[in-house]
Amino acid sequence: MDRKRIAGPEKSVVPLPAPAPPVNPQTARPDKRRRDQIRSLYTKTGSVTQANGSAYVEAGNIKVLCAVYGPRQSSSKNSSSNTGTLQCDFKYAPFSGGKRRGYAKDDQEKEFSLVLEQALTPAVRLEQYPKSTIQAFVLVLENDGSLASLAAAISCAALALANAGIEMNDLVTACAAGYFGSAVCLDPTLDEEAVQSGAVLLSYMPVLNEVTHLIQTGEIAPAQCVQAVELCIGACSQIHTVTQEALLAE
Amino acid sequence: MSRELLAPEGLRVDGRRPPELRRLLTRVGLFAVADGSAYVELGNTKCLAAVYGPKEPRTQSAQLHDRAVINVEYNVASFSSGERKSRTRRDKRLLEIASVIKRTFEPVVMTATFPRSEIDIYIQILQLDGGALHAAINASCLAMIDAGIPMSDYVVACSAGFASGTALLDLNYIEESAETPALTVAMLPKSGKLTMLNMESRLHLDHFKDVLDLATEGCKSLAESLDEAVRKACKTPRPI
Amino acid sequence: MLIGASERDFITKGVESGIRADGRGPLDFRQFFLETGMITQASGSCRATIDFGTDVLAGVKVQVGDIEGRVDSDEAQADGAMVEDAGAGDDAETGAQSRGNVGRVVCTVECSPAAKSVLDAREVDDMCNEYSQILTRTLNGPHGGLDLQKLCIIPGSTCWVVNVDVLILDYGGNVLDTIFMAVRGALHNTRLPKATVEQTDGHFEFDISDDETEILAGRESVPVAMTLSKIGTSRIVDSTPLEALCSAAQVTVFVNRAGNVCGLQKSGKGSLEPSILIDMIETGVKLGTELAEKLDAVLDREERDRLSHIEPTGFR
Repeated sequence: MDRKRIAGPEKSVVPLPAPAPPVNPQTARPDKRRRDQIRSLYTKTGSVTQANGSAYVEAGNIKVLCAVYGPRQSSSKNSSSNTGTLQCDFKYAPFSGGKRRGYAKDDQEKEFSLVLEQALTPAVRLEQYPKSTIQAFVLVLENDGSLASLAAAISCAALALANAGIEMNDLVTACAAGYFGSAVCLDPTLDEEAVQSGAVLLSYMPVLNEVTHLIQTGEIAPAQCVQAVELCIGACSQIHTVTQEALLAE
Repeated sequence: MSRELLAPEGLRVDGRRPPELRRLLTRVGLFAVADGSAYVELGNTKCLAAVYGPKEPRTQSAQLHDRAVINVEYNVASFSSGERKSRTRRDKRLLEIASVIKRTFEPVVMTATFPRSEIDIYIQILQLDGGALHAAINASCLAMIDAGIPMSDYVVACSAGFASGTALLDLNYIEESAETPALTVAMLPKSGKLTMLNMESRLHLDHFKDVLDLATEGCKSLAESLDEAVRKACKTPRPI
Repeated sequence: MLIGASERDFITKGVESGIRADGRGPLDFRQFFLETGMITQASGSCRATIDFGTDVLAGVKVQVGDIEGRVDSDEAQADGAMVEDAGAGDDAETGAQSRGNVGRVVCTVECSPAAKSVLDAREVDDMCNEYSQILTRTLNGPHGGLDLQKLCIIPGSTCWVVNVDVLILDYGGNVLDTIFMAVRGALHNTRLPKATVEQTDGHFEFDISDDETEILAGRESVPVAMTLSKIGTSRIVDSTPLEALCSAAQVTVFVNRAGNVCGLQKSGKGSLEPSILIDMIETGVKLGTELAEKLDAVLDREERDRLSHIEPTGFR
């Protein structure tokens, strides 16, 4: 317990919410979307004035904010390298989910930071930034599906990098999908995530037609896995049209 | 407590006589990437050692202008003992043992031959049944020889303890955990010099000489086995 | 580690025309060896060695633990006290919850300084961290093969915790695949003490047998990993450290014996065209299923040897 920041009673219990009725995305999705339909998107750039670049993305209930700092001089340790480095930092706000999260990064956030880095690095022209570091900080203000919020974080970070004027090959977008029995649903929410048997997260550069990152969990037949990958690629292209417009609107 | 360690017939808990070593099994050269490697099995204590170097240090600050630096990493696998223990790399006890091993080898290795370089010794205890320190030193010695690093002599280590009025050689886990006074020595068998002596318990000075003599006897007998292992390893052809 | 431009070119052009420095074809594995049961103190152990390359030792240790993974932090202890205050009457209710009646698998990966010749210290730590996460994620779910519900001793309170500790002893390329081989072998070799639960007026008591043991349920469905590295325009399996330096992107496919995908992970700094990606997934599934069958044959032979009291050679 963080006693410096929270002056609450030593013993406190989070009130248990009434159990939500079980969802079954195979028949109907709770927010009345089609299976291959992603949440509606809102994007905005330049929302953090102090940063070199920033972006805000809202996908349904998911709210993600990203600020980019740099390029700035690398620490003396790896300053001799010929290419720059991209450092990403993924953090859930303490109030982002049903249960309060601590300020220290937990294992999941550390892993997601690494995924962000791996998903964005192929797009950034790091050879243009020798001896420098570019930092992207992502804060998830509201979480509605862990992989879906990571996907939103990737798209948001790409947008913020573009807003900062970092040279990139393409604008990366990402999309998640969940397996529900034999069905594949795009962009699952938190309630849907609780009943899924597996999930895919794919990040993609739509103009270059290249996949930058892919994670899949859950046991699935290879054919269905390929189907999910193709669905995600399609959705990433849709997201791309939205993020592209946000940049043009600047 | 200490009476149980030696049965009236003069046999120890594992059936050995007091001045008897456990079964020693060795293997020199197991790994392809490491410059030298060795495996030592003393009874149920199993230890791996690998040596990397001499090589250029990664950081400028880690080098000395007139000799090589020896780095020792000593690890105990979390599945090595009865109860699972997860230790971090920064565990003080492990760091202390690593530093003891480093100081044991520093006077013996001809570090002046390799200025501005480093030698990494990696030790992994796979199974623990007492005597981890001397198993680790013996394994490191074999790995150093396998790596072809010049040393003035073998470094052979052995432990001995004192219970029921008798000096016992090469203590196992039960004898070690019964708080028997025990010491570990590392010896250069040719000159008979000691390069390390480690004792963390109280032992009457009258008995000290007996225990020390027994431990050095143990070292001498181990030295023959180690020498045999090295000679055998030299005869077996190995791919480059 | 750095690689010269001409050496990179040599390896890339070779792979593109189907030739590798050690004479293998693009989709050939190096010879590997597997041995189980050499660490008698562990519940299960396995050493996987690639000929003249990577050497991995996996040890499994089972422990009785609390469900929900309450560990030693302040917050967690407070939680634990609260649950006990709530009384034994709630046991049946919590047991009915989906997460209240499963055991868990905890994995850690440690690396010897062997990897230091290729990576720097921070990268080694990152690699160990990443592999621990991948292992835990892959094994700790229904897709991991192991029947986690069978690891539950008392629903809602006590379960078996399967600790998988992996030591990378020598570093010669294709580490992740070797880790999965070793872990699969160690889980195959694991013997769980038999626990019998008795229920007396709402209270559960359990007893752990000293001599009776059982195998882990579902051990044959534990996935294997198959990493394909893209070099130039071609792809290879079982890359050596030098080949790994030339590869811009890798895809690891986790496959079980039934030929189902249990996980996918792309790594590396490059990107992949969708058609190449899908081809890599399909090739990975095919090769992974073959590898799983091959491993099972070796593990069955190992098990027969152990049952007929043939001692493992170990590191001797």
